[in-house]
Amino acid sequence: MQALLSIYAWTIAASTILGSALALLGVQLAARDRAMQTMCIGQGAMLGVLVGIGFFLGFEATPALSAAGPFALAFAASALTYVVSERLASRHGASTNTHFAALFSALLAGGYLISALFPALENHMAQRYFGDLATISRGESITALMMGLLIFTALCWFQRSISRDSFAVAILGSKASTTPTGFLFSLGTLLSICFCVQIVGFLFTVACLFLPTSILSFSRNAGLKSHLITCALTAGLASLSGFTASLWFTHLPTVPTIVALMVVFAILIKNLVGQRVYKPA
Amino acid sequence: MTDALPLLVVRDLAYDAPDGRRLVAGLSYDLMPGGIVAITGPNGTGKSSLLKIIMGELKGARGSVTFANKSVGYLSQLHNREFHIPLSLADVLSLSVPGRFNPAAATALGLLTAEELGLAWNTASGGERQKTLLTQVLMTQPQVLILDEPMNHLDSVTRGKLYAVLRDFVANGKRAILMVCHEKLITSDELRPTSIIDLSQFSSQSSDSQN
Repeated sequence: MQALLSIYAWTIAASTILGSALALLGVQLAARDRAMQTMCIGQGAMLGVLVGIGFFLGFEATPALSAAGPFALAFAASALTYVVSERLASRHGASTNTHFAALFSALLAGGYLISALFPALENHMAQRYFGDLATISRGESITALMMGLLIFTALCWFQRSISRDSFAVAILGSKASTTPTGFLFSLGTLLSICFCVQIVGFLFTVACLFLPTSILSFSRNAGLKSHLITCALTAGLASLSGFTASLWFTHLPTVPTIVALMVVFAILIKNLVGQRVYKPA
Repeated sequence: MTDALPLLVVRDLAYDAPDGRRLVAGLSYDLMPGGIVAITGPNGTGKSSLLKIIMGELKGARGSVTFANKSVGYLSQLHNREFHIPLSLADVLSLSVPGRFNPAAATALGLLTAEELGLAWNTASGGERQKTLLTQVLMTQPQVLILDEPMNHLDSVTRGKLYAVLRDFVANGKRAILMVCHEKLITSDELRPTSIIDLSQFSSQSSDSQN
């Protein structure tokens, strides 16, 4: 077991930090009621990744090009999805979630169509959806750890201004993307989702983004910092313990184990956290 | 006051509803320091749209809007009531105030009590939320306050307190308020706006009839 832990040390560290960072990002996206739009963007990124993989499977490319190509296509596809979804959301014909659900179904069908165009893509598609952290290379793990640290630090550093934008978007109907911080947040979100879908898979990305904040939003505890800390803690703990558990019990799939533990930890932490953080003087 | 420069200049503003109906045409006014300008008119005359155009949140208007400086506090109507993150009212206030949040400064405005600051946003009443948002925008100490129906959800006692806060806001003659509000509030003695803009006077129908 110790040998396994040392082999996967970088991957465990990467999934723990990346999970926590995604949980912080998910709080803000959920606060802006953009969960369904994020699913679309993730699916758009998936489409780009699949096209990229299918294209580069056709000839021998360098490892760097094999990684950068799908990422670039994922970014282009997710950016296009973002633009289309924003245009749909700005129309008032139906609820935004209805538009997003329709877009998601179209992108999902697109992904499956692409897998039919390229031979041997179905295995890649399953891996990108459900992920297998144990198959990530050492180089990818280190990159993921760096990316996780970057997202985590940025979200902590700009926590107040991002939360202010989220509040203004949700409660006052402001358009955050028109401000410089709003634009940077949207760009950072797109890049983070593309990276995570490509490296750790769609399920891990979406679960870390929305599971902790969804369950912990039921907490009676009124406090921004408390919510952010408990969400990051839940995702980080679940990634760490889920990965370790899947190494210990080899028949357990890694990402579903992490997701199951995330649900358990979120419920436990929700019930453990006290009534109130702020106390009037 | 006559030598002072306007804090906001609106010239020949015209804008349409999303369905293409002309709402307002030829609207021009100057918001002078010390002024409280009340915008009124029947439903659907574009009062909230006017504030959004002034704040740059709505595009497609003709004419010009020029602020003397960027110190503007804007409070729109509530778009949603629930917020996903379980914030306290103190959290909501601390988001917009640079540096460490000072509860005493928040309660000194007289709209919120120290006990209310600990309430959760999602379970607070409409009035408590409105008082929080008003306190939030006042704590940024803007030079121009732009408010969309700020009296919504407020009881008569709190409305009285808000009138006093707004009068104090412009009392030094350097700041100004532009607000959308109902006619019955404009006619009350407590608010005392320096001028009233009835948007129905600037609708395309009234422009046609004047021509």
